[in-house]
Amino acid sequence: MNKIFSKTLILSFSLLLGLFAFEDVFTSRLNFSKIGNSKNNSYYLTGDPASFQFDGNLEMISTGFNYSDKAFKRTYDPTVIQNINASYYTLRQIDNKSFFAAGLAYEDLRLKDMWGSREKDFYDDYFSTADSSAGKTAYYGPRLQFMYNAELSKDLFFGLLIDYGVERGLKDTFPQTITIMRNSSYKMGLDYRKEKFGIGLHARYYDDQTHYESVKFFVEVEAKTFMGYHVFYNENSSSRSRKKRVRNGLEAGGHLRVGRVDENVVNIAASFLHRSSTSEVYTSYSKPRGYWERQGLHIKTDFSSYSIDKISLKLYGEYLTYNDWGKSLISNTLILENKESYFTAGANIQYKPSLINKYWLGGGIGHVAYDYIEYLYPFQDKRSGIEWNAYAGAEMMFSSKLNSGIRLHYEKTVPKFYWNTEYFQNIGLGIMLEHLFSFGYIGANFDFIKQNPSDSEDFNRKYQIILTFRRK
Amino acid sequence: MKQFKHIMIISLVALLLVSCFLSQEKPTIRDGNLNIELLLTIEDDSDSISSTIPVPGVEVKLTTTNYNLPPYYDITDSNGIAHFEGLPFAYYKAEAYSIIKPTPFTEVEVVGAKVLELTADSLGGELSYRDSVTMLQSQRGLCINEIYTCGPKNNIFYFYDQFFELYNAMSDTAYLDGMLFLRLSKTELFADTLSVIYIYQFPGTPLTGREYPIEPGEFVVLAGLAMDHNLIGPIRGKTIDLSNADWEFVNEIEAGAYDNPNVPNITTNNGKVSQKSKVGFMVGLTGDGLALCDGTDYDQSDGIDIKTVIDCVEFSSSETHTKEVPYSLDKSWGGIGQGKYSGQSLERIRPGFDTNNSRVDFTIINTPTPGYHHE
Repeated sequence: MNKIFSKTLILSFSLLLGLFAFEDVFTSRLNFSKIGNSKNNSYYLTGDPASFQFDGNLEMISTGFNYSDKAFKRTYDPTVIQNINASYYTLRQIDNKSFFAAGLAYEDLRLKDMWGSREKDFYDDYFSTADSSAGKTAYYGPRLQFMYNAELSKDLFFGLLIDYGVERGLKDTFPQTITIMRNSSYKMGLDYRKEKFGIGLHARYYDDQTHYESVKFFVEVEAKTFMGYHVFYNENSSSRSRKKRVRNGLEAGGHLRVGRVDENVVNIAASFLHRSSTSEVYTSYSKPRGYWERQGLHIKTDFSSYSIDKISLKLYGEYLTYNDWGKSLISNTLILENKESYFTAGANIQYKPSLINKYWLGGGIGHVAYDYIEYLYPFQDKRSGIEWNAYAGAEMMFSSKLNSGIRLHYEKTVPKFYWNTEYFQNIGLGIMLEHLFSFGYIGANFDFIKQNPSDSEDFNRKYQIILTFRRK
Repeated sequence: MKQFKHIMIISLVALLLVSCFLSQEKPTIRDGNLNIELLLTIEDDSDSISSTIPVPGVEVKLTTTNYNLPPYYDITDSNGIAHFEGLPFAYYKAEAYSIIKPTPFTEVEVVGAKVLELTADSLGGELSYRDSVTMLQSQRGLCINEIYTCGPKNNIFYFYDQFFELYNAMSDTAYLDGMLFLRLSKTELFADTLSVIYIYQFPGTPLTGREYPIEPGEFVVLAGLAMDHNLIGPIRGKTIDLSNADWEFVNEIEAGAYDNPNVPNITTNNGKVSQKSKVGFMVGLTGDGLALCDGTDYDQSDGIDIKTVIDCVEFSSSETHTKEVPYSLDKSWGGIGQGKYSGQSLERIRPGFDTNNSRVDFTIINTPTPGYHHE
């Protein structure tokens, strides 16, 4: 019975094949992939909760501070992004066949000098709204995450991952747009793992609902609904302006592993995404404004070799493509299309001379192509280019209790929806320290990224400090 | 365990069903592909039969307030047709202005304007549209030329700098003696009398009085409060000086009313015309009805006779506003999109241009222009 059931499940999931987790409704989330402690863990490939492996129990408290200074920005980007967050997550073995993980996070995000934008990320939607305000917006709210993983029958694992987040935003200048966001995501998967072979399937549904409300205090709200990024529709001025945005997405995919995880192993993962987003603006009565859809395909593959003593080698490749179209619900006509594709290939090598030291070096090169067209008032941005990156790092234990690490990276990227630069060159530095105490580990991470645009002398900087306490 | 398997299967089926509802059909028609042909004509008075002739070589300007698009321009061809291509579905206003020479020694100023409803619904999905605009000689009448009501940019709810501007587009001097300036209440759309909220009167005798002339091409400013509003601290530099207005509205029964002694008054509750309101002349910031009447009917108890109206304007910032002024006086309303406390003003597209359709005749300007016309 178990076999029949398993086959039925696999077949059902196969119908959804073609669908993955390469797009996320949560701007930041608890990341279980950082705490997986097995080489045989393909969770990093697809986010399939059935693939997640962990031995033992864990508790972790983390708090972080991010600060981004964006001297180079687009019109509706903030000049400063400041984020303070705290999270707690725990992972418990229920029995030797299942475990449960839960996380709770709270985030306080401040976006300064949000000129006109009523959106958290203006360039993330084709039907964003703006008004006459200029000021700071604060977003805050909790997020919850649950993961359950169980071995259904021999070598067949099932996983379920639920994310839920509520966030509230308030702009400090009139008309003081209030934003309420409710995001949820449900993902489940199956993973069949043998010593020399593994296959997994997963599917995810997500729902993202955002409500905006601006109320007149001194002056009327003069809202504008963008139809793409250049043309906007002038909404009627009114004492109250509301907007509702609903996004739904469905992803599904699968992955395949061939080879023993501690020798030579090849992984292939493919996922398909379908996403829809609808915007409605309300003044005196409901007015649908825009609808857009996205279809995406994401393929990842890697080859890892652990056959040479102390050295591990990884070759990887990735292909991602999106096809978007958007229609105006005022005229029920097509107003924009967007096609994107990314192809990346790279390699990294890790040298581990002892249990306490580790050094790695890697790099990748890729081709990126965008073709964005607006029809309302003719505009086309078609560009392509080569992206590349190189990185190196080391982890060393200075004593039996003090672990440290350093990471460096340099990359060139071709940005999307930036019309004032061709590419960015980013330099990054990361430093990590972790000390073992009798009650657990206390760690500190510091990251710095400098982003240089090709066509401006202004540059952006990002600083991040994370403090963690974990018991394992 | 069995229950768990059932839940799994149901979840998978639910996911598949949800995926079916997520998708919509991709439209086959692209917006921004609308083609318009506008035939510009002028009335031919050369023979007794009324007919129109095309006007070549005239620049036509097409604007929309729906989108932040720049104006579209074209010059009429030899057949008098202006062509516009690649437009989005929207409401447009077509405007054309020209000076034509019927004879080598005469010039006639002609203006044409029309509102075009070119939405996807109204065109039924058609991507081409043809219409004609008849260019008229500017009506030569006394008219309400500018309406500034929405207040300057401020956060103290200040809107007391309202003013109205009259313009004499006639070739003869007009006389304001005894004329009425009205704020209208909702009137039946086919009524022959106007319902009135405020009624103010110029001094003098209607029709025959000759004391208060307005010369041809002259602007006259009627101020709610004839003072320099820039003296108000929080709005200093944001508004206008009305201390030199030509006229000031004064309600004779308003306690402690401001009255600039250097500016003559248009009055109410003056023993001849009366109203219930005890405050000064203030109108809706972004919506109301105004009328200038010759003053021969000043008894508002049974309404003001529509035949005595010299000019009437309805305005509202809302595209979905319910009309409140009879069609015979104003076919539509102007001021769509005007914001409260925006410092914007409503002015005729050219001095005195009047087709009795305020949506066509008026345009929103960003700063008020008391006593002169915008560029």
